[in-house]
Amino acid sequence: MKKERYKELFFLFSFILLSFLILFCAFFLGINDLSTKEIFNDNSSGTLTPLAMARITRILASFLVGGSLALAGSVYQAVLHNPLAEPFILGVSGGAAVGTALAFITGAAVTGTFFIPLFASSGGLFAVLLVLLLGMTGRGEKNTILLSGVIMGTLSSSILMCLISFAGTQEMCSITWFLMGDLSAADPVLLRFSCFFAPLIAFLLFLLSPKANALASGEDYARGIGVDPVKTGYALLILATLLTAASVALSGIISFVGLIVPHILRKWGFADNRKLFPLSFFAGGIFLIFCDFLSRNIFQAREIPAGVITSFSGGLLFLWILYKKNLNGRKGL
Amino acid sequence: MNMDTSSVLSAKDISFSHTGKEELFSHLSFTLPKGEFTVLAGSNGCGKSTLLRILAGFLPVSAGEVLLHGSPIHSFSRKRKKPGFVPQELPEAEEMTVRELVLTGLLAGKGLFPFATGKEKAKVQEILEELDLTHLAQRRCASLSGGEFRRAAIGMSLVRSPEILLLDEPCSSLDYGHAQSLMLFLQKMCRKHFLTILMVSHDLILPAKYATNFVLMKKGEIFAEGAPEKVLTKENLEEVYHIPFEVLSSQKNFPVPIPADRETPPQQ
Repeated sequence: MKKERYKELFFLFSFILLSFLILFCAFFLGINDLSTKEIFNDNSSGTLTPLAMARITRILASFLVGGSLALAGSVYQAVLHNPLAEPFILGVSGGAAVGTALAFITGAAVTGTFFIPLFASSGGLFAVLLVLLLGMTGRGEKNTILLSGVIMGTLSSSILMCLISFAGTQEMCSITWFLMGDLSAADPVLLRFSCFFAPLIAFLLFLLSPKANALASGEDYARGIGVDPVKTGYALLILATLLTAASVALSGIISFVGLIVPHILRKWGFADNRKLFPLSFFAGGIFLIFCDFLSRNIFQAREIPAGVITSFSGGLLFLWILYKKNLNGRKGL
Repeated sequence: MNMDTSSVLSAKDISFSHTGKEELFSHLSFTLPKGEFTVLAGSNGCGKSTLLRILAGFLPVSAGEVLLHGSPIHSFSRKRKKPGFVPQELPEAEEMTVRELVLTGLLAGKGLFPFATGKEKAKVQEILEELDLTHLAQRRCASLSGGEFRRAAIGMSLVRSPEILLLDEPCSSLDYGHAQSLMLFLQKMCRKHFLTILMVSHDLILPAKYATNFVLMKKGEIFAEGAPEKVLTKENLEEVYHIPFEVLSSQKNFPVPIPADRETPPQQ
């Protein structure tokens, strides 16, 4: 009992320390290193310099996007009983991306910025619905849901390609960056919206976390302890999808954060969703800030999108989990 | 209002079909005796597990009704009052610790408050002690033996203090030692805490020793019901399972039913 407590406390302490270190590096280090003198315009007015302001915006966007995706991943994994379920693999990110691209191409995005998350959410929810419907044909088998997600992702990317081919040169460029996951161009209005929206949904999910535990145990266990698996399952999936859609609208497709972060946290013993949900949100945020920091600094002359780093490391982890599962001789994924 | 105090859960004249065409149950009535350890047995596909799920309120019936304390089971909004249900499969959340799993039983059913009160923590501790799981409370369920994990799964239901506990083949993956421990535990819960138990089982030998009541099902009907020695007779078992049986008697006069030699394959 005590040993476990110490392990958890040690983890939390290291996590907080690491977070501060990453925040410090992400703020001060980059192609243009910030010195303390460059943070404020001058000491009397107290306003931030444009460079400092850009860094803070970027860090905030990374935190919200990373946190949202990691939390959404934890939720999908609990509801679908599959450690490989994640916004990108399930095709939710793809659906939301199609919605966002449509908002740009139809001109809705110009009419009002709020059309972007609205379109993204519709795309994401539509994708989830299709994946669940397709998944039902396999009697809820784990692999069928994942495969449906993969198909959904492929369909989304083909629609996106089609939209790109119709778009003008400038739109083509911005959609392509968007597909790679770009944290440098977060829209300030959307960012302000996400600052309220993401923590609010995260809090609602935290309130639902004991019910998510019941669902993760199995449908009949949930029913047996007074949880309606269908209603609760849909509530959790819709909230996770809205969270994904908001982050896609903000930064494009950033894959595998929802796989990597919950996986590591569970390995550290945080499998109870009451702990996993809030920790996923914070750790996911810090993780993406770190990935974004790397993306700015790996190559001195050129910046690569943060999505490249997450998908590369996530892809390797995905293979590793598959390999381990096959090694253990378990059935399915 | 049903004033019959000897039963808390009953099915009155129920009909049910999985596909909407062929009925599995047609006007079946069944009363679960209060405070007894009842075992439900029968051949594969006779409807044992379905009846259990109907009694738990999981499956809707096409005719008749399931009564809990004399009122239709679906009218019970207070979930705590409903029977506890332990499925045949072990919980999938095997990365959680035993304590977290048992606590889930308590927290998930109540409103939107993810923290356990002092009283609830004490209740979890009490159940862990009752199930002899205190020393394993911080262990991940995946690292437990089948018997320990099964006890933790039962703890998830028991922590809500149900009056009735429904179990679907809890011993199916256990060896005789672990199965016997589980039977002893259920017998204790029945005697000490007046828990009413209905357990589906394929094994007849162990339940014959520990259960107080036996129900034999055949093709969607209750074939025989009563004390083990009255139900587990050679004639009844041969009629239900379509194979020859011998029923021996143990030193303490418990019936010991065992399949006898046969020459022809069973008739279905």
